[in-house]
Amino acid sequence: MNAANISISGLFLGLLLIVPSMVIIWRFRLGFNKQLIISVLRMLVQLSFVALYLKYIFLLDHVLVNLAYILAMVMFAAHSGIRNSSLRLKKLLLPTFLAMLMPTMVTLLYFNWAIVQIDNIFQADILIPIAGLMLGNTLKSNIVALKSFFNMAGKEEKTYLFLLANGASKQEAARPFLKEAIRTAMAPNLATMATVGLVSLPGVMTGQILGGSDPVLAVKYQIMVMVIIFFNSLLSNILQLLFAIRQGFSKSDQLEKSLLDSH
Amino acid sequence: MFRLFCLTFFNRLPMIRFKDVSLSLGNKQLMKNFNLRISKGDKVLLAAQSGSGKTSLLRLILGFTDPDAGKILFNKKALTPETIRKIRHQIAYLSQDVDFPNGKVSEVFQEIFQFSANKHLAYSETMLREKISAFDLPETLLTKNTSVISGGERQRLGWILVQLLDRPVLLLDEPTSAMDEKQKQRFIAYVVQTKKTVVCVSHDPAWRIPEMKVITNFTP
Repeated sequence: MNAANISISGLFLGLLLIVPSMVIIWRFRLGFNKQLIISVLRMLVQLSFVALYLKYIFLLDHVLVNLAYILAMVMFAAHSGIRNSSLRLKKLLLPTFLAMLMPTMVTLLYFNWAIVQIDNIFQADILIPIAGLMLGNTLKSNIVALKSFFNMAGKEEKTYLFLLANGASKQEAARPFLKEAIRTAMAPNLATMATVGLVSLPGVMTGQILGGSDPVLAVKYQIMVMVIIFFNSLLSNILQLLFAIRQGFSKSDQLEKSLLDSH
Repeated sequence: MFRLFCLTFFNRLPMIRFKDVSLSLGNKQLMKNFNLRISKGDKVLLAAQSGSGKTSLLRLILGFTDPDAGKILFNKKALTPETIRKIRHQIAYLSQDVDFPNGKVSEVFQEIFQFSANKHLAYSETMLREKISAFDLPETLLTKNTSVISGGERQRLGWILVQLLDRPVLLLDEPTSAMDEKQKQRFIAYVVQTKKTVVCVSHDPAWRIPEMKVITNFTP
């Protein structure tokens, strides 16, 4: 089950491909050689660190360390998600954090316990990569959901108020926005599932096949991963928007315009 | 005799009160120390010139806008975040563009009557159908999307909603602007005969009838 190793000389020869790239960039005066060097150096440093600490975390394989690691991942995800959505940071940080953490933990443990059926459901070398996969996808769809929710709420505030004035609670009046935001956010997930395998092999499968897995097993993992990503994103979207409805409107149910300002 | 006294007395109860209300939007002062007393059953016409804050007055009653100063009372209770929801449940509101959400007419109505505050109301599609034909609208309207129907049809649908909701207070913003004379008179007649409290915003001289108390100015 082991992947073919990459030796130091192999690594070196691989990195050597940067040199002809730089020559081409210089010849065609494309002007991004400096960025290329910076990017490659950053990648080397960041991934070396990841290799180091993942190696230790996998060796240590302690429940609390693993959970702390996931917590940190969710925190980074929530923070970068809010920053990229150009909504006001402070008020939405905690709800975003919770909206990502809660479904991710549930799905993750279900994956280990019911799907992979391993004895230690907190096993680091499954828990952490799967959490990373789910968070990456959930992050993307949560940003889309939040953005389109507040976009619509801003644009169609009159509809919201019309419903509010004719008996709706703020949750009921904001439901059209919630529905539309979830539809928009989940559409790419549906499309990916429907086209998977037609154009390119998805990441999880490629990784496993390179790692020496049987293609059938790789496909089984891929299917399970797509299902849990879908489930997790949907749950997280809904939570995220329910929190947003709580936070995004004042005590008298007026839309908090300040949340829409970019900072 | 006593009953008559009670009736007159309770009918004079202030339903909506503005106490020294000031409001500016942007840098325009719309209301300054504005006082208003609307009694139960009153019919009030807001006929100030455009941009003078007529719509804002309705928004203040609904708690969509907070006044800069002063107080608004509804049934003797001050409008606060704690009281506003109960107050809204006594109101039916027709906004200027009758902002129905996107969707098939029959489904939009269905959804509105499923709000927990509206659930107790008797509603069925048959009732909607009856109203639609009573207001000279085609029955095909039921399956149309609210985004494609004409302004006049929209307005009449708004009136249908208001009548089916059957609230004690009606707030109407230019409710007949897209109607012909015959339609208009029908709704004016409805307002005149109803026991409900009505606040109506309109420029239309057709609404300037003796039954309506006319307000044209919000600043002293």
